[in-house]
Amino acid sequence: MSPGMGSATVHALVVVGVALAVAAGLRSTWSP
Amino acid sequence: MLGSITPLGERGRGSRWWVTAIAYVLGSTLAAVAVGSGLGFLGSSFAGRMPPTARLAVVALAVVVGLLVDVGSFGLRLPTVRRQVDEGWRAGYRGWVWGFGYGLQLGAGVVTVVTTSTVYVTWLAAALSGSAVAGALIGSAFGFARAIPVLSVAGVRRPDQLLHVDAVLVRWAAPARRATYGVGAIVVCLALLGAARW
Repeated sequence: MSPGMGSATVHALVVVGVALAVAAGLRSTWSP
Repeated sequence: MLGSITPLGERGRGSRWWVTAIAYVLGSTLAAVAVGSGLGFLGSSFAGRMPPTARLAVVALAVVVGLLVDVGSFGLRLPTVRRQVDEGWRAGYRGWVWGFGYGLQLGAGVVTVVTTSTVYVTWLAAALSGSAVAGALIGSAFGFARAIPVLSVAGVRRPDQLLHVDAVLVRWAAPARRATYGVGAIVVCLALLGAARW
């Protein structure tokens, strides 16, 4: 795996992670 | 939680709502950044050795499994602590102290009741990023999104308005749940697309 590919993976995980994070954070508003 | 930090309640306790609300958002964001960056740092010891495809596929799989658990498939239930924030803090501490304290606990995501698997998968993504900075970015999004809805109660100054907020929360509970599933499906597609590129 080239260094560039590793960086792209991190970027992809950040995009996916941020989308999940926003959904999880807002959804948790309905926590007890 | 939203009904706990209102101008109405803070006025009754002799506190300024905006101070408590800002402390709450700050606490939540800081805690989530700490958890996300910590997990990213821990993940740096193993994530870098995993192929990119595997890391994204693991997240996609985790989202799918998590959503199945969320809807109660196969009788599964989401594992969670049963703990909640201490209501007594509101009477015992200054607004900014309990606001910040509540924020720290709720922003961590997993030290109070967890209602959606996406919380766990968010932290999994932070760990698999293998980077403290990337983990902090993911964490900041969670902590901020977790706390910022508090601004929606900025206009609550009378008891009847508080009841209205409760009613709105109940009304939006199901759409919020469905939106989470929708985002989960989109994330799976994104992760699989990313994985397919490699």
